[in-house]
Amino acid sequence: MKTKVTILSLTVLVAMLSFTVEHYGLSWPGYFPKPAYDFSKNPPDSAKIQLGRNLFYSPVLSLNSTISCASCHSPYNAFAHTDHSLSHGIHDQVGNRNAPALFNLAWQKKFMWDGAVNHLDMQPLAALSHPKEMGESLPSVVKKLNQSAFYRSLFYQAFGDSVATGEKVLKALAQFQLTLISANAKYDQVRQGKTAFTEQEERGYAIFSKYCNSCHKEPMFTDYSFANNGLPADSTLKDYGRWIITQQREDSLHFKVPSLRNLSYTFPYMHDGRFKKLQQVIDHYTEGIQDYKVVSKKLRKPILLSEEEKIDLLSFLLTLNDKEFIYNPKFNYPGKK
Amino acid sequence: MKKIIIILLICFDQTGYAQKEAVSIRFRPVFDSLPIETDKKYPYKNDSIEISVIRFYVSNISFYQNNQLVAELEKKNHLVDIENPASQLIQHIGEKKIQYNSIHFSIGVDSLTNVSGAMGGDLDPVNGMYWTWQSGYINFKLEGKTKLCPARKNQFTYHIGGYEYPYNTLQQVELPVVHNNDIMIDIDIRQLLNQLQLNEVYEVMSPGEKAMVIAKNISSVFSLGK
Ligand code: HEC
Ligand code: HEC
Repeated sequence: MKTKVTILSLTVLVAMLSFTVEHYGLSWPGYFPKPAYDFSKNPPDSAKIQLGRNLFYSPVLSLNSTISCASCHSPYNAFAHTDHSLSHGIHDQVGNRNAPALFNLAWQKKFMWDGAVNHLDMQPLAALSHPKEMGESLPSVVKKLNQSAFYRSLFYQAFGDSVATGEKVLKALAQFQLTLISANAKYDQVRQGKTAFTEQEERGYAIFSKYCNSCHKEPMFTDYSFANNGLPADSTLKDYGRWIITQQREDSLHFKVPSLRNLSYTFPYMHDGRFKKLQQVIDHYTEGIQDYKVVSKKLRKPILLSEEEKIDLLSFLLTLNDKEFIYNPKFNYPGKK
Repeated sequence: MKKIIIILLICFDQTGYAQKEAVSIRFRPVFDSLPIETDKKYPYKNDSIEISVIRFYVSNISFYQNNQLVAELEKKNHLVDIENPASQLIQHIGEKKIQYNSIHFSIGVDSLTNVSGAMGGDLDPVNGMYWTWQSGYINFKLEGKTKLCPARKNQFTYHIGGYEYPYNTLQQVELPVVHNNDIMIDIDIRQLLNQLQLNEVYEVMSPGEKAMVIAKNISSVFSLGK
């Protein structure tokens, strides 16, 4: 009897852990939190997603038709950019910023390293209008799209009306980006009872839970807050992060806590791309934090790890890579028509 | 008896029809009580001034009788643009006649709308009333030039907005009115310019303390036209 109950409750538990949420044709594991994006205001639909995907990969969004969103957000880098840290910021003081990876955006409330953007729909405006990025403006992009027979037909399929507007462009781009859900790393398979961690990964998980989970919170591996993780300020860039936006001094040098999923594909790391290797990031947390007065309270106690423990931690971080996400053909270049 | 009822019904019906409320509200930027024309020179402080852009959002227009809400416009946000006369005239058609002695509205877009994603019509970011590098609507734009302004090409640029505490620039305006089918609301730009200190603060294009002060100045120059 007792074993029966245990087996039963175990099956229920496994079923609970592995059940998936279906929402407007998108799906994610049951252990993901509730998304922040209000899908009812922009219900995902395959024709709109296709339009958004075409726009995402289209150089028509840039002034001289050379750059697309994908130029900086490549599918093979989990939609980050790996060559070098990129220049950003309409205000000179913002300086260089690294193009972040794009996935699980439906759960994010604020965008950009400093949270300047309050809604996924509105994010493209920043890239479109930036003189050093795409140098375009929404009105002129809308005009170009209205002159293209190809796009008029895509707008018709998506909205039942071939006329492009700013609202439609933004909503379609958001729809494509909302489909970029990364939830099939080894970590997820372990949670779903499909496989198990190695002993080394298990040890790394324990270290992670002790020192990192307070900000890079499971299962999204971020708590979507802004924090100072102890990086020495780069005096040439003068990038004060969240302070620029809130104008509250206590937000100085606070940056978005990034998700740690797909790290193998998203180097270089940090808002300014200062670290090329994960090993350097771990060394930063163990030896690199200098000013214990300004760093987040969560990092004020030194993190002491042996070389073996660092490798354990690293091996756990690698279980967050989601290869299926990287090679998902649905996220790729839509092809010429 | 039947006949009387029918006649009565007809009467009611007709009075019912006649009782529809139609009010037009006109927003009119003025300089010395004259409607402003863009790129025309106006004498100002022993010099002259030209206005090139005046655009702003008027939201949540509602009618009050002794501080009781009696009617509100269905369309929430209106973009008023000096270059587009049709945008300056806002119509209210109500199902029944109302008594009111004041009109309330806000200048700008409320914070909920600011965080609700892409919208169309007057709120489409294509209208150029949305910041690009930082999310948020621009509530009020005033641009022009005068030699009194030490900026490049003597141009002044005020893009006033910001929806987050402590820099929420949305302003409420309440004006006493007499019941009228045609309400004229003047925006006295000379009075606004007098408050702006053109020689010192001539470029405000982000949320913050300066924008807060100017937003209050803006709301103080709306008055009932004559
Ligand atoms: C020239 C490179 C470049 C182009 C082109 C570009 N981006 Fe970006 N993107 C960036 C950089 C750099 C950031 C981070 C900027 C910051 O934090 O200030 C960013 C941030 C983002 C973010 C926020 C992610 C987060 O986690 O906060 C999203 C979403 C995004 N871009 C989508 C797009 C879309 C959609 C397009 C096309 C319309 C686009 N990007 C075009 C470089 C680019
Ligand atoms: C106080 C909160 C906090 C804690 C605790 C924390 N981090 Fe971070 N982490 C951040 C912030 C904030 C950033 C981004 C900083 C920046 O770019 O300026 C970041 C960035 C990173 C990055 C770079 C990711 C990318 O895409 O650029 C990695 C990797 C990382 N952290 C790993 C860890 C590990 C491993 C631990 C535990 C040893 C840890 N973090 C603990 C806040 C934290």
